[in-house]
Amino acid sequence: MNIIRATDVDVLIIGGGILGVGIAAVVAQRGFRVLLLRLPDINRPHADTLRNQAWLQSGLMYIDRFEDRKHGLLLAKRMFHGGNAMLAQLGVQPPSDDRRGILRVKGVDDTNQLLADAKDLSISKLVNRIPHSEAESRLGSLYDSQGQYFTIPDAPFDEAMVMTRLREAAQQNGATLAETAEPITLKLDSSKKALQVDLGGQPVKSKVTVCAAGAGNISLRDQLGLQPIFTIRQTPLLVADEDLGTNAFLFADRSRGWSFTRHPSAPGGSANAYVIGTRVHRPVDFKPADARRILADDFKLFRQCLPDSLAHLCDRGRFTAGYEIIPDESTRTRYVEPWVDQHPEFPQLLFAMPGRATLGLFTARQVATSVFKHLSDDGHRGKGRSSLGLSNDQAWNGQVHMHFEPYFDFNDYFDD
Amino acid sequence: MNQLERSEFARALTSLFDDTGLFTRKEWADLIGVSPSAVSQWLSDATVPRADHLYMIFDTLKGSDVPQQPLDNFRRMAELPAITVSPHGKRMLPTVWAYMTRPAFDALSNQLAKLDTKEQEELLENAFKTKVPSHRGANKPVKIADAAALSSGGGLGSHPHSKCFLSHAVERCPDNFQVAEVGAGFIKPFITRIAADDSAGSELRWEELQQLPRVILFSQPGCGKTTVLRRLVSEILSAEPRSSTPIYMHMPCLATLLATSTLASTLKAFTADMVPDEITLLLDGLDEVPGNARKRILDSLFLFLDECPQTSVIVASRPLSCEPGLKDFVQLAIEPFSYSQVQRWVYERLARNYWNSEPRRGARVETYFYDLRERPDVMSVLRIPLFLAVSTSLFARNSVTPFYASDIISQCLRTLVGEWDRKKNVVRAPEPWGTPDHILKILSRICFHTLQTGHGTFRTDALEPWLRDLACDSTPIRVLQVLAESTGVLEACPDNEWRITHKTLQEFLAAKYVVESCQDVNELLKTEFRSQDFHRVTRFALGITNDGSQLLEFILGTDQLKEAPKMVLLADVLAQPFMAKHAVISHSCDTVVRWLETAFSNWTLELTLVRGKEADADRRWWLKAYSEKPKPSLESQTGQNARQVLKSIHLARSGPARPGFLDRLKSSAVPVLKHFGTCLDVDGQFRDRVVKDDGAERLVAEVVEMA
Repeated sequence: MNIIRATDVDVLIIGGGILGVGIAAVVAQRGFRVLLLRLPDINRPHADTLRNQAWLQSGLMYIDRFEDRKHGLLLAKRMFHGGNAMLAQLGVQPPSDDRRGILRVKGVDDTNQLLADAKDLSISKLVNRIPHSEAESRLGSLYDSQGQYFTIPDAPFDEAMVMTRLREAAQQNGATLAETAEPITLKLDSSKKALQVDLGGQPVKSKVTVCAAGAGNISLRDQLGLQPIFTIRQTPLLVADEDLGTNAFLFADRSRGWSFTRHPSAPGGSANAYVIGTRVHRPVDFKPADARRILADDFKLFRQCLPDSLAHLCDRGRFTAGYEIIPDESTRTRYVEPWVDQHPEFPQLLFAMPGRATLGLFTARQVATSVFKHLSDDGHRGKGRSSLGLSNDQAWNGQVHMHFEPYFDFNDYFDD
Repeated sequence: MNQLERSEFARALTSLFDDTGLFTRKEWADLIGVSPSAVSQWLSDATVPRADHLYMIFDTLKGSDVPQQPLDNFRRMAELPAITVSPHGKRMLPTVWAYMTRPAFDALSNQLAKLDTKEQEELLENAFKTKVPSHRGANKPVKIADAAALSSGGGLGSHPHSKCFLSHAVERCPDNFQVAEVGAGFIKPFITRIAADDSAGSELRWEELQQLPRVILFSQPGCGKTTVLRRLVSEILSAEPRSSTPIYMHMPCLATLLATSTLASTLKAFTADMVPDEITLLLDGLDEVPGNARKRILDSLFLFLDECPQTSVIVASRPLSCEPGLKDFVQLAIEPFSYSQVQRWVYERLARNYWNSEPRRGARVETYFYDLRERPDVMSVLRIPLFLAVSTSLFARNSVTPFYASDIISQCLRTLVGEWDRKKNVVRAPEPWGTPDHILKILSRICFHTLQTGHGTFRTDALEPWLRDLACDSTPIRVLQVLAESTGVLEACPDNEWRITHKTLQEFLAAKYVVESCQDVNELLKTEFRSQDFHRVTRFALGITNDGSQLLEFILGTDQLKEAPKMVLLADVLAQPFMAKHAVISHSCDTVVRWLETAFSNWTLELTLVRGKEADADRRWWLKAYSEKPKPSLESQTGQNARQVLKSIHLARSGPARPGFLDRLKSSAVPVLKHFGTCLDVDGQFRDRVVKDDGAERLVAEVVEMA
């Protein structure tokens, strides 16, 4: 298959999610020749970047997962303010106040826990109780008279715009971004001195290779005989694009354990593009994208978390099996933190995960620091664009938007 | 180090860390992903934090329940000139606040990223210095025109001394190409080196362009030489402090003046009170100077440069078919736009100049892009900014999208060879064969014959038999030189050889030859019918001709192609605007669909969806089909041909073949095709995919239309 006219590049990036494209932007900005390869999304959305909730998290929904709450605070600050920094640096509008989230709790214990969590997270001044009348006006049909309502600093952010800006930055600095019909294969030669990257039968040579393919990194490591060093948690998400009868942009019900975010970047700018999540998640073994299924038990639990008025969405909306990649102890990182690792015998091959989408640019800079160590400056910086030739079909130029297709072949259905 | 010895910046940052109580210093280091020793170095003025780290520290505290005073103190410090608050202030110019909030990928950040610390400091010093003492007249009043007048495109000729030299800079640009502002809307093209060594093709940063003392800037016609020169004039004029004074000259105009004067004395009228070292000469259109005057103008230039060697010169020209003798000049090329530059250009130009007040302008621009993505051949032509201007103008005025490939390319060539030279008052060949029509005729013939021979290049002597019956009494080499410089479609190569530079234009021009030739179309095409090049020639030919019935009948009847490739060709040529007899179009559509019915006869329709028809939002169309034993497999050559035909039918949705395809598909007894017909109502890119499963296959196809 004649995909790319193979030419030496400085950095090959495998994966075109928020991390891959972020690395491309940062590395190309230094003047190195960058080639990014990604699988296309249409009909085959391997990437999770544009399937998640794009939620600028304050940590209120995470803090209870930590034994040491100080870790929760660190992570929360990094997710939230790292996300703010990313939006500011890319010139993407930060979420306006009217898009800030509303949170519901029911009962005295839950209310007290929320306030305690807000204090631990040092955001008490941003978590404010609102009167029922205001909650009813903003939540519409989702308002439940039982419970207490608070405004929270969380908000959905325009993740598609972030991707678009990063891609523009990469392209303006000369990176070549391409979509390939077939996945990449990696092979290390027997002396461990050269990495063979095969793209549909055609070799691609690079000085440094970065695998930023999300769960796809597991397949890439497997090709090289490396064990996975992360656990995987499957968190089903439900995508709905019908009117939920509410004005809110983000709502979280801590007592029932469900939430939704509403997004501006659905195809056609539809105002009704919701991603719904629940507290349902479970550790799973890695499976390739086309073999992933949501377990029937999880489906039932998911449905129970939703209010009755939305239960019908479970039948009409689209599920995704959504993987969260969680580095294990051997990586010396904690829960969903950014993570960069190099091949034990071939350090010019790196693997990276952002942990959270809001940390895409933050992690990209960390990866770039590792990349630059392998690239000598002389003769490369400032040289500009790579001389790769791409046809219009191969260049990754399509509009970036959240995925709201009503079905895919895989990754959607329940395990009977 | 005691508190007083540290800078104001270090003290304010220490206060953020230590007086807010949110984290320990080690936790801060953890949070922003650096080592604790890095933090210590910041706080002792040994280094400074990266801008993004500083932003994150401040933003984290701003959103937390912490004492306000350290934040206020830091903010006050951050607004002061950076060099007054930190020994590393030069790296954070103009202020710490500007440093930490600067967009990560703006032009300045992109520039800084490629420099070492020392170079960064120098760049920032130059960029943010306020008024500095006048240096050798550098801040003298603008001599030629001011930057605002230049960027608005309206004031160039107003200066009493500028009329002669500058008027053409504005008036010569055709259509809306003129509004390729040199201000905010300017898109910096990629500039590469032309050299015989390893540096050939390497990119030159825009900022380096002004630093080279002698430059000749080549580009194909329409790639923006004049715009680049105008931009450079604007940048030189608006630089603070100004290091030189730009003088822009249109070279044919200069050539007239030099008939009675020297360059040095001509310039004296403008530069009497200027130091020649501080002049930047921008000489536009060397190719527009007649051949015999070129030597005279260049000799005059060399003489002037001998007298004033410090004067910077940038010459712009189309590629010349003979060596100009500028051996001391760095040779650079302006590259055609990349796809992303095309996108930016189109959006800015259409949205700003045509539909500024239209609320759904974004959606209208998207329709243009949809068609552009579906037509890679048109895209390859529109990478040339002049052609892009022509195309977007046609779209804005007549809703001509890239679907109208033949119309667009035809108009582009007419603009290039006819209107533009006429507006510039350039006569490239005074002989009767030098008219735009004649030039295109000769070029069409060459393109046809070079495609027929299948060689990428041809020798000068090959031209003679091709032009034998044309009324042309000039030598072949002269004809070729004129064709090359007036169109850019030809290029001179070493050893008396010539090369066609643009495949799509070559195919279009060959089609023009086929259509305009008195010979039988069938005779012209049938000998080379197996070549893919001639398939595209056939498509263009159908797009050009007044009646394509004969051409369609020829394709239907030819026995030179097997069934599947013939259907691919037929569907492809039908997927465009064209004119032919209704009965022939219907018959062609029927033939294509009948063939598809065989290919999809044992497929089951699994899922169909057409949505959003009434809504103002997105419209979507899906098809999912399954076959236990597909015959043919959609991954076989025939199967891939069938998928290609489906794609072409969808492409045909806006053309004259639409009713024929629509009627035939809707009445089809094959369920997959019956549903497929409904996708003709949805604009957007057709994407399909085949999933194999143990011999069985599933086809998934989709069209998504952005509202």
